[in-house]
Amino acid sequence: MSDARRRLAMRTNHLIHWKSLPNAPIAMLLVGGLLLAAQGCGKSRVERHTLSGQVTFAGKPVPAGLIIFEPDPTKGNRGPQGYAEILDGRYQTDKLGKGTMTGALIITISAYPVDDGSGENPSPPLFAPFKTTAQISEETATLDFDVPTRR
Amino acid sequence: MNSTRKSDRSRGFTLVELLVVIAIIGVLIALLLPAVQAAREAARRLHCTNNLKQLALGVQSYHDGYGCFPYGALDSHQMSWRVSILPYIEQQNLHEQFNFRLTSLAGSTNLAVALTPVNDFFCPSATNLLSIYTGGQVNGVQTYTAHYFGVAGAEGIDPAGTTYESDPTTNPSIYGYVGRNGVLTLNETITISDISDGTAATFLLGEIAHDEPGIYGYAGGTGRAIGGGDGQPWVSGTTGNRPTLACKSIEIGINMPGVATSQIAFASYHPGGASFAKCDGSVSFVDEDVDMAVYKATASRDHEETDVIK
Repeated sequence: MSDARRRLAMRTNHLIHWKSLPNAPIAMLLVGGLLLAAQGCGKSRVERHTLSGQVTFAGKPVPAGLIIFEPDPTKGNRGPQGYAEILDGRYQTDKLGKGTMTGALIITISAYPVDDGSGENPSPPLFAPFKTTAQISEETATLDFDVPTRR
Repeated sequence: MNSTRKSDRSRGFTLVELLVVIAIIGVLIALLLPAVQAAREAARRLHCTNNLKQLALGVQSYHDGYGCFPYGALDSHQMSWRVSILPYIEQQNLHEQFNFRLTSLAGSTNLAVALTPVNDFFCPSATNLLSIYTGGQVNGVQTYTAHYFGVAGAEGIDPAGTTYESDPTTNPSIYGYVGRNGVLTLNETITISDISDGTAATFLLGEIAHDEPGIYGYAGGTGRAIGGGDGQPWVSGTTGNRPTLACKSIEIGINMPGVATSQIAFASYHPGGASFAKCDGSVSFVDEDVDMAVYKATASRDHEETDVIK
């Protein structure tokens, strides 16, 4: 065999070697690892429902605040609270929040002005936490609230 | 001669073989790293559980000595329950530094006690160990905070339709309501015989150590929350306007943003929940997806709810 041919054989030999042997286990490890990682992260046992909408106070959008959806235990509805932060009058439970349960809910809305954060004490809220109730189903995608000035 | 040298050379590693080995090692490390991190976090969680247990035993020993649980927070001294239990957690020297004749923390005597960190008050997963307020400074030096808080009770309605007892603070929309159905509460001492739901079914302490919960309207114009628990010096129990700083009522679910000072949510850096100590001294990790009614039932010492966290 000539030198050139031997070198070629060696090279192709390695090519086959590289292709067949170590690739398969690496791929399997990678896929297996990804599967394990994916399985480890997404373990949520409660079904949460995405809800969004607008919150206004006497017709004007609430600048900042928090909306909490709690299943009403007196009506037999149980589960964790869902919540969303209100910014510029809008809330969305899948952004800055967590999905809600369906069924009878007790809703609490708090609203604050947006300040520069320089003060020691929290800025006073726009109104005392506003409580209301609602019945939502799987089909409910949006729910708007208007907080009246006089309650 | 020439061919022998060639076969010698071919027995060494080629670049490709080396790369394959490195790739395999890389994949193995990549697989192992999350496991190592999880193990480290599990160890920190265990340490946190142990801290809660020590503090719960300290509170129990206080009950043995005085016949009642300590005040969760006491207006007449502005102090927290943590000061009361110092002799029972091997901190007698700090307890002696505290002057019980003073009615206020302000000045350099009683607030200065919090210049000493107490390791039992810190969750090892939490990052912020200092008080975050200028009011928490002594001569320009920040005092230390704590990550463990008393459970003052529940807020809202129980499954039977009865409202959980609470008192308003001077400004309920900022400072919230003080729970009256828990075990560590404001200006009131509770005894074991007051816990009609049973000590194994009632929370005593919980952890608040997270960036998320806090008060709105605070930081940098974003309306987002403060960091590291409620960021008060560990000696602080109340301020002049009567919010409770050392014990919180449960109105909001675990790891959620809080609104009012007295109702800041229990929260932790441990993934998926927070640890709580019960009045019997047991410590359990409570899932953040827990049924709110069950969570609140465990926070209240009475109301005879049947469904509680085991």
